[in-house]
Amino acid sequence: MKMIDCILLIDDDLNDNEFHSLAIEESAACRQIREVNNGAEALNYLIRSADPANAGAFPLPDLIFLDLNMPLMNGFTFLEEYSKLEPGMKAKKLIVMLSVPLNRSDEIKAKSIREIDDFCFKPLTSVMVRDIIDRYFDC
Amino acid sequence: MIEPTPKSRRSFKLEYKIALTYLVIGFLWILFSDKVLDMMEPDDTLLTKFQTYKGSFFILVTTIMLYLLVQRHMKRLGVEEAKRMESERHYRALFNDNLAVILLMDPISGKIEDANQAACNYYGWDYPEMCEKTIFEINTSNKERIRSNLAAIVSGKINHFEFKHRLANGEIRDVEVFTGPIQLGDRTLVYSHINDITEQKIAREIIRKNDERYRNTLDQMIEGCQIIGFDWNYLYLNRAAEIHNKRPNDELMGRKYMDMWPGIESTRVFQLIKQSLEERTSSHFENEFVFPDGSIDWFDLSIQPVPEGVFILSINITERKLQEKQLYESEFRFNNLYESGPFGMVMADADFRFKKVNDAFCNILGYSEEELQQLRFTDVTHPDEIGKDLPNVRRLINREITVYKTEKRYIRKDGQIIWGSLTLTSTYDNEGHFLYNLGIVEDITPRKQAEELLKNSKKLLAETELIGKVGGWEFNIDTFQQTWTDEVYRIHEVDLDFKQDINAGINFYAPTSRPIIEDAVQRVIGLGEPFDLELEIITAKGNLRKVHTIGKPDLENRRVYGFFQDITERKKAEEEIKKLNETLEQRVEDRTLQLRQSNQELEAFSYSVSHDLRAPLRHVIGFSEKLESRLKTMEDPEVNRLTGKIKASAAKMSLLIDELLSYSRYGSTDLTLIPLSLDSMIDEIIREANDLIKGRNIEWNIQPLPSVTADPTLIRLVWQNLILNAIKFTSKKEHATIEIGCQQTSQKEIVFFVKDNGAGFRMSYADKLFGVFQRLHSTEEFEGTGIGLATVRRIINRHNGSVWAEGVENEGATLYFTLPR
Repeated sequence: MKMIDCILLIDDDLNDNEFHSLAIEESAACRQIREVNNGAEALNYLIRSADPANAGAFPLPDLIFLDLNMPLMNGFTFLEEYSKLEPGMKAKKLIVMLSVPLNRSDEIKAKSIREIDDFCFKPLTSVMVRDIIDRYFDC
Repeated sequence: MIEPTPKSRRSFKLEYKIALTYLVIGFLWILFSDKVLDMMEPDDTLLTKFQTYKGSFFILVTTIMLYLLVQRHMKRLGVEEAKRMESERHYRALFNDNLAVILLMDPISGKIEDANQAACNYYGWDYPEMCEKTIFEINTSNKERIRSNLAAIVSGKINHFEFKHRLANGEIRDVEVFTGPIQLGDRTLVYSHINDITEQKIAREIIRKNDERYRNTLDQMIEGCQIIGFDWNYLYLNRAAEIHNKRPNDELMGRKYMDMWPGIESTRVFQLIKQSLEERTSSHFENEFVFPDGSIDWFDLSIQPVPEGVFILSINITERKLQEKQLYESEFRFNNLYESGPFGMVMADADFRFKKVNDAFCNILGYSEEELQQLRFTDVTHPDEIGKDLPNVRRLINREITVYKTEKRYIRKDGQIIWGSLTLTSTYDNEGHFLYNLGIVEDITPRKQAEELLKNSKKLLAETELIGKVGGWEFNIDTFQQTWTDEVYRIHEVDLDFKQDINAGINFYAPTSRPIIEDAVQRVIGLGEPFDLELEIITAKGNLRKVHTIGKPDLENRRVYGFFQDITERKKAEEEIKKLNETLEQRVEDRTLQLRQSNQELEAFSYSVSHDLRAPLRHVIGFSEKLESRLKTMEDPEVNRLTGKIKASAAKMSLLIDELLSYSRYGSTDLTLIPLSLDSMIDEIIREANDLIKGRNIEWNIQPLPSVTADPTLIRLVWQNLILNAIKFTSKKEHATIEIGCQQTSQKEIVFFVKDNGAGFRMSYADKLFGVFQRLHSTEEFEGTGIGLATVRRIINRHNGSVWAEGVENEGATLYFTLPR
């Protein structure tokens, strides 16, 4: 069974975060889960994770689940900033979580962003998490 | 008193005659009687007897003759004496009673010897007084002159004098004296017959003055007057003669005629003057006079003998002669015209009867000359024209007018009506009597027909112009003379007699338009470039008008012509429409923008609503599942049922939100129209519905469908809705039949349908089928949100199609929709 080290959940909805964390734990395919509530916090986290001194508190995530609809800095704004980060600050894969299908303009916009590896609908289940890790990770 | 003593020559002659007669008769008697006796040869006795008888007879005859002669002579002497006495009395009476004044005077003493009663009356003395006077007291001339005159009278040299005689009352009179010597016995007296000429002298003075006046008149006359004396010298020339002779009178006066006009002796005028001078004849003639410089004038000359020589009256008739010459030439031409000219010529008398016609006239009317000579002009004239012709022809014949011109209709022999132009004149003889009418007729039928056509088309054009406010114009490139049709005048608001040329026309253009039209006119003239312009003019009344003017060159005919239309109203209407359209477009745009904004807002709203609603729902479902798995250990069956209900409610709400979201979305998002293969789309939908179909007995009856151009996502949603509905509503049937197909009803659109044998519906509810949240069945009976068909209608409407349904309760329903081809 494949196992990754860290998943970063970027979502302002605390209920979703709790439920998704449960699902990831249930999947038993990831050792650590970190949660942030908007894009700005996520950037902060990633920048800190590049510092080896913070390796214990801010491990660099292997996989990011990103919600688009967030206050302060939404998903698209975050992605713009994320693309500018150094490679050492980026996760190996990034999945965008949707609660409703994207409207057409968002869909076009999303397809042009290279950082997005895939989409999935909320809520995440343990089956979905295992599926994704199987698909995108070799280890 | 006078005692005349005539000589008696007559009595001498008588005696001589008697003696001679006696001698002749006696001699003849003797000679012939003896001859007769010899021829009888009687005997001697008888002879003696005869001799005796013969002698006796001779004596008897001569005695009778002598008696008769003496008697006759005696008788005649008595008659002559009586006659002499009678004559004496007559002469006396003639002298005394003569009304003429007669005097007898002694030529030596001048004494008045005798005077008649008239003389006494004239001079105012009685007879004795009169006989006391001498001629020297009467004649006012001096004595010596009177004496010499008397001597001349006596010698018979002079017999006529004019004197002044004094009367008894002292008055002096002019007298004319006819006188002569008279022998009375041995005395020679002077006989004078005195005639008072005082009045005559006055009259003569008057006459002399008159003569002078006549001479002045002659000087002033228009006619040339010349007098040439017997010696051929010019004696008189008036001013007109100076003009006629073309040389000053001073040059001619007193000079000889033939010296002044060398070579004149060979002319007729010279011969006639000569004849008049010599034989005192007069003549009147027209003479062509060649001047020394070669010029020629014509004169009407009268040559009259006058005491001084000849009088020549001259009138210059050169002009008349020229006219005559022209007239002659025109008559000559006329003859040619008459015979062979293109015009019909006709002579008609006062009864309008044709006397003479030429070939052209015959051809015009289709009659022969003989036929026409049997006809009157009224026979070949259209009845409507006669009323106009007759009075005019009468006026012509009566010389009230000199010529009658008309354009009239004639009727040909074949009945055809033709138009002729008639020019009619009357001819008269020298006394002014009407001779005949002369008519010139030209067949103008083709022209009249053309005129009629032209008139009609002009009328049509005028009407068209008026209705269309459009006119025509043309101008000559060389003269710039311009012609307008009536409507062009009306558009410029000027009267039809407005004097216009091209410059006047251009001046009507508004200041902004003028350079444009000037340039266009120059180009059309110079380069032959046509123009088509919409410009502005300011009319004569100051109104601004928009006009459409088109000009085309016709350089071959040196003109430019075109079209001129008042488009003020049209332009106004166009501008209003344009303005309306602009505002309308603006309004539509505004509205569309508003709509789009509200749509976007609505979409954003529904998106966030669904998004935000979904999250708590998701949590309800997620956490109730977690709860369920924890409570499973309590072995309470009620836990399962309750958590089941929570999950079902949440799931239903989730579906509701999904459909509401798609309804709002697919009604407003832009369409992406691409060609679609419907067959594969339907296969896919049925395959995806596999979960619902599993375990069901459904007979699918699917026709091949044409491909359409439509939005793939939305059309897929339509088919999905309809197919899932059909599956859903046939779920209670043991044997379900679902039919999918299409009908070609028109060129414009295709009708698709999905037919099932399911629950169906009452047709009275058909209109409620497509409303949002409208449901015909309970949720318990058939699951559903009531949004599906509303979404279908919205999508189809957005593709410009329509949706409808047919159904029978418990037997099935057919859903139809159309898509444009």
